Amino acid sequence: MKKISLLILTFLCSLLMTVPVWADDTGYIRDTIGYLEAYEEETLETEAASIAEAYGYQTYFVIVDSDLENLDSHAQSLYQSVAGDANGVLLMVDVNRSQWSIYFGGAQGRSMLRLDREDFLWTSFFKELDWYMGVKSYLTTVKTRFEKPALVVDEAGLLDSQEETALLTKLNEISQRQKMDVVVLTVSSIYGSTPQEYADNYFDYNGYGQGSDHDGVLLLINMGQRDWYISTTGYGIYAITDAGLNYISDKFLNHLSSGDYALAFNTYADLVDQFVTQAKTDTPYDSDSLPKDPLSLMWLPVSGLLALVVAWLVTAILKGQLTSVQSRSDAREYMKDGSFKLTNSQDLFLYRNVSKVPRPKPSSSSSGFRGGGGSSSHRSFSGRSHGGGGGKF
Amino acid sequence: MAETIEYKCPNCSGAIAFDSSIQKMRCPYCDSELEMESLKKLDEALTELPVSQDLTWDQSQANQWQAEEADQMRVYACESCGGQLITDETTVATSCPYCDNPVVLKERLAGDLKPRFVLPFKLDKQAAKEALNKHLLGKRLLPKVFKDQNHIDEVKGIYVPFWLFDADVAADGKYAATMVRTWSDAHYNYTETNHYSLLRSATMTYERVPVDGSSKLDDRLMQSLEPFDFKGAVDFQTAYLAGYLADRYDQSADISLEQANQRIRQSTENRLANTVQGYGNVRKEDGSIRLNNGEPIYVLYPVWLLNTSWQKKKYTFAMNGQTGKFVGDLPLDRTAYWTYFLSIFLVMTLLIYGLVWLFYWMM
Repeated sequence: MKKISLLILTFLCSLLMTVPVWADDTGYIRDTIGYLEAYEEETLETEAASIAEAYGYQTYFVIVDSDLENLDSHAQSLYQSVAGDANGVLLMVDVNRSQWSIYFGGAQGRSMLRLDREDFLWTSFFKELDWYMGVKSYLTTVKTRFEKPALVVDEAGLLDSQEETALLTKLNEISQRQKMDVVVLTVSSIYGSTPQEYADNYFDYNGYGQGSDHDGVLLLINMGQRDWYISTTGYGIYAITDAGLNYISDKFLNHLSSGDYALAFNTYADLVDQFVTQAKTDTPYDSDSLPKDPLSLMWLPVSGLLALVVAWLVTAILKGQLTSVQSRSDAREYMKDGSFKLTNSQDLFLYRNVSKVPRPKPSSSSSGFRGGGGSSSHRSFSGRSHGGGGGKF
Repeated sequence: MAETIEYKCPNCSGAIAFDSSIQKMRCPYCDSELEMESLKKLDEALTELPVSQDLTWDQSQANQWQAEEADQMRVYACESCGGQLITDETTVATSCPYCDNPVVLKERLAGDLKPRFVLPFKLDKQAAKEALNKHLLGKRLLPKVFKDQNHIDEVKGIYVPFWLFDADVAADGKYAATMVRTWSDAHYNYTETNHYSLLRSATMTYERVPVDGSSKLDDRLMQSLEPFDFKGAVDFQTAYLAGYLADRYDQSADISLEQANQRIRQSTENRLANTVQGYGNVRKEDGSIRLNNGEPIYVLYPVWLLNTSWQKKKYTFAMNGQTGKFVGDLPLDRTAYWTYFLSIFLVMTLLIYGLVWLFYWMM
């Protein structure tokens, strides 16, 4: 019985090896090996076609065998044979994802994308573990070079359309005025990556960021693990310090936790706006110069109570001026000067008690430093510098 | 019918009285001044003279007083005008209601009733009135109209009878006390409480503790006037009373002694407890105070009494006739009180809130 099943399995395997899969080798996405399912390939094909139609830019993706040598010339000849001198790009990757080549075709194939790094499209693909996701990311990256996506991406569906429109209007206004993109992104899963990676990559590979330093701030909400993460880039790193980030998150986290997402995002947007303004006009808010909340109204009754005591004391003194008749209970002014003689004075020690209580552990707070903590930053997959921080809600 | 003394001016026979500003007798009519010393001599000579029979009075015919009241009433005749003086039992010196001449009732100063010392008035009636005006100054809660509307009904210079007690005191005290020491090492905070028993013994002397011997005067009022400086006292002479009112004591030394003991005990206890120092949480466990009282001394101390009325209420003020210390409770202006209270409350609330606000933003 066991032998038979093994036999069948072997047969099936050999069938897989020899019979070419349903993959085609035409169109924008060429997968001769069959890493992509047919419907996946179809989706990607449509996407690439829409880019070509909308922006006149050809986007090719080719998977080739690993034994192919000189990928570069191969990519060039392939592009020229299928697209001629049309503007476009071709990314060729071998099956092991160990070798790759990118070729920009046409006169403006390279300049139209305005890439600051040669391997940007490759990393966009390579950062995903899955072939389909990788190609999708590659296409999105190309697409967003032509058209910046919306500043609110509500994939998790946390906002109703009215809230989303209002938030989008606000973010657009802020982004335009402050010359930096303020983004809100909600997702239901981040596919096994860390919130930091996901937020950084989403920002980088979706064309966010203004100016040469890609100034911007992105708030990621992952409903799957209830993560939040703020990724800062360019001027955002400077404007939003580590201490500032804690301050901002303190303000919106309770709204987030209680499910009032629209309020949380608006709070975030307003605070980022305030922080950037501060950074532009003065030095950024930092651990020693965070914006202050208005003084708690709790102080009003407290000072009222203190004032009550003072008022009572003063009036008691004034009232006391009216009273000058009082009886005397002692006769100290009649004691004859120098007549007091201490004839016996003994201090007898009886016993002693010693009690001990454990000392409270010194709190290891290193937050005592002054002078500003500044912003810490790290390098993302694309090679850009990001700042930020996050947590759970 | 007992005799009265009226000091006559040897120059013009006018009635003379003690003048506190010159500390002598002065004749208001001819401005003659008489030394107290010479009057003393005159006094002694006077007592040897027989009593004038003309001044006897048949009390039974004119007796319209209740028996009880009559006990307290005495009828005297004024030496100047022959007018009838009715005084109560304790009056020693007064003035004739008809001719306003000062009168001293000598019989009330005889034997036991004779004071040993008298502290002569140093301040006169005018000083008392000025002191009252000064007393009303700077009292923010005093009704504004009180100063203008209150009028002095009478100003009386009174020699108040006082008993003075000397006492030698021996006192013992036992106290339980603790001393606390705290320190800490790496893991614990330590509190060490040392318990002690403290023994203290002391002796001291009190001199001339005064107790008001007149039941007519408020004890509290008299105590508020303390202290009188006994150094100013002189041997008693009736002449000092001329021109003033005076009462003899109606509260015996025995009764007064209790009050003196009370006060001596209290200050002895305080003084002894003061010797315990450097301890935290001292508790008295036991104590004994033994007083050895000397003989009480009967003296007259000078007091100005001012009675005023305002809005049908009487206010009594008193001034120490020696030192000028002025006491007397004053009415409270309720509206002013609450105005002050509320305005201070509001201003302070804003001030404190403002300060907190300022501090908060400076941080």
